[in-house]
Amino acid sequence: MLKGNCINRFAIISFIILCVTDIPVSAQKIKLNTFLDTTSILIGDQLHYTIEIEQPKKISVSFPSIKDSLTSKIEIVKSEPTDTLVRGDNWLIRKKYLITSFDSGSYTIPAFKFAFKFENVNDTISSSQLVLKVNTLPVDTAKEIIDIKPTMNTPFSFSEIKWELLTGFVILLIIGLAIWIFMRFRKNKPLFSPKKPQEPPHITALRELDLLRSEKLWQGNQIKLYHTRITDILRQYITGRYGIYAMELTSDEILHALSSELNTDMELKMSFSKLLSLADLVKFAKAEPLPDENEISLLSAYTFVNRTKIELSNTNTDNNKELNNQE
Amino acid sequence: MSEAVNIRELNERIQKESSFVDLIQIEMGKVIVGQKQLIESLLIGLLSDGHILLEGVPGLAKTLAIKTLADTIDAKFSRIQFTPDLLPADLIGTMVYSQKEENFLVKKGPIFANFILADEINRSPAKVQSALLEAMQEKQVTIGTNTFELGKPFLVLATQNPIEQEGTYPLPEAQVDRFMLKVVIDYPKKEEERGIIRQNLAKSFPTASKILRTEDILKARDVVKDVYMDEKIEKYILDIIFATRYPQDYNLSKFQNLIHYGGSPRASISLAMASKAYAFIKRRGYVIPEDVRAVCYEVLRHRIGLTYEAEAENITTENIITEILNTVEVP
Repeated sequence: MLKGNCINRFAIISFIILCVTDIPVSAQKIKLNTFLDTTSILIGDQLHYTIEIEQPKKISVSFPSIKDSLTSKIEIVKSEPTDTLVRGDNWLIRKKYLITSFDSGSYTIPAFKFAFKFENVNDTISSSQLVLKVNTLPVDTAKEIIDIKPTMNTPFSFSEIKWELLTGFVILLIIGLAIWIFMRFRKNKPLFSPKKPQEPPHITALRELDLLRSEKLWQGNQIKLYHTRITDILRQYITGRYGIYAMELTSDEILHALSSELNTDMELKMSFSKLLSLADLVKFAKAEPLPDENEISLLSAYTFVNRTKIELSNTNTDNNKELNNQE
Repeated sequence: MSEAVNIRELNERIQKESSFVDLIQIEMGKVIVGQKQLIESLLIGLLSDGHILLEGVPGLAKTLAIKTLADTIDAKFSRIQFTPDLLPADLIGTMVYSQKEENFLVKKGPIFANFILADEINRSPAKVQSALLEAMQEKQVTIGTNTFELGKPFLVLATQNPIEQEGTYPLPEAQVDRFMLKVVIDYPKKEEERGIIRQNLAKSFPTASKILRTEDILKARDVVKDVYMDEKIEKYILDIIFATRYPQDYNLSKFQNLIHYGGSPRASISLAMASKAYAFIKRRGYVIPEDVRAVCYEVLRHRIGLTYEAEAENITTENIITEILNTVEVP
């Protein structure tokens, strides 16, 4: 009889142990944790409700569908994106909700069920319940009604005031211009200064010839460059003086273009023609003129410029000087 | 002035060697009234070993000018009238079976001469034109298995008529490029035409005398090659050619949409060579910018391709060359 009781007891204990240890292996591998930033808030304050699941990579866990509120009194302000981290062989999945409550009291956040599947077995795991206490402010009805919080300011941007800035700038510009015009009238000065007259071509040419003489090119055996410079200076002078694009003309064409101007001074025409011919020989036929011929070419260039230049009248010159002084 | 020795010697040599130029001009002037530019162009082609394409309306003495030039030189002259039924064998020759020899013998065509007048070249189909143009380029022809060198000098003077385009075969651009010069002949002046009338109504028509041998021409060609061309002139030639290719680089952006293609390297060579020949004709031992400008139209007018836009706006290659010459800086 005793032996039979002993056998029964052993069978019952074995059954209980088996029942207790029959928890799925997969559920043991999933760690679920939910928590709040704080358990007590002032009415209207915001806090995070965080769900963390640590699970093996091969298990897929489904989150419960939580839409706009956790309970009837706790609202979800914002659902933040799910964050997934690797922790060893596991995934750590973290989901945060920004929540708030506008009713004072103590509220319980219910447990949520998370479904998962492991080796063709469907199962669930539950989160723990949490309590959130929402405090209110003591209301003194005798006092004036005031805001609980000051008004929140959005970040400042210049684009908000661009038109005001532009308008202000234009107004300042108009005022400045008006003052400048008033001052010019008061000093009896014209509004706009006349354009500074361009340097007469003969001044430029004579300056360039002086520079060429000082460089002593032919004395340094740079005869080709020397004659090229002389003809270039004269061609630019002719362009400025007569409006003939001499830089694009050959020697014969230049002489032909100037024939009406030079026919009145045959001596000048001859010396200018000789200058161009000699320059052509030096430039294109390796000619090496005698030192005197080099000097004569430069002198002929000076003569050509001096005899064909248009002198500004004294009145104009005086006016120009006056204008320059005023500037 | 003490010029560099080589140029002075060259000038003296050219003065001596180019004396025949005046004689040719005098002899041609006996037969051809006016057309000074045409005569000069023919001499440039003759002296620089370049073939010439003559274009002009009928009756402007194109054929007569070429025939007269050939008459002044003791050389073989052939005139080939290009017709739609002409065959390459009619031009270069063929193999003929000889019963006596019992063998095929080579019968050389009219191309075996020193001066070839290809009259109305655009009246023959492309295969005949190609045969001629190949001979022009290679200076040799192959008949059967034998290759024959053509005579020296070998100068082709082709004429074409700008009107009556019906039934003609215009020369392709690539083949036109093989002509060194394209000379466009215009009507003579009133005084010149009066001389032409009187000359033709006279009892006897003047003829040109032979004053030169082929050896003289070959010798003159060597002298022409010795004419000195300074690097400034070379740069000027390159600027002109490059302005036809890249007008935007020479402040001629307006031509960018008007020029389809510019001058080829053959154009640069021809412009340089023709400039030297022109300097020789003017009895100078060196090239000056005037020489380049004088031959520029003849060398470039057939080497610049125009777009449809240019044709629609009636812009010619001559307009473009003029603008380029007025824009490119003269050295």
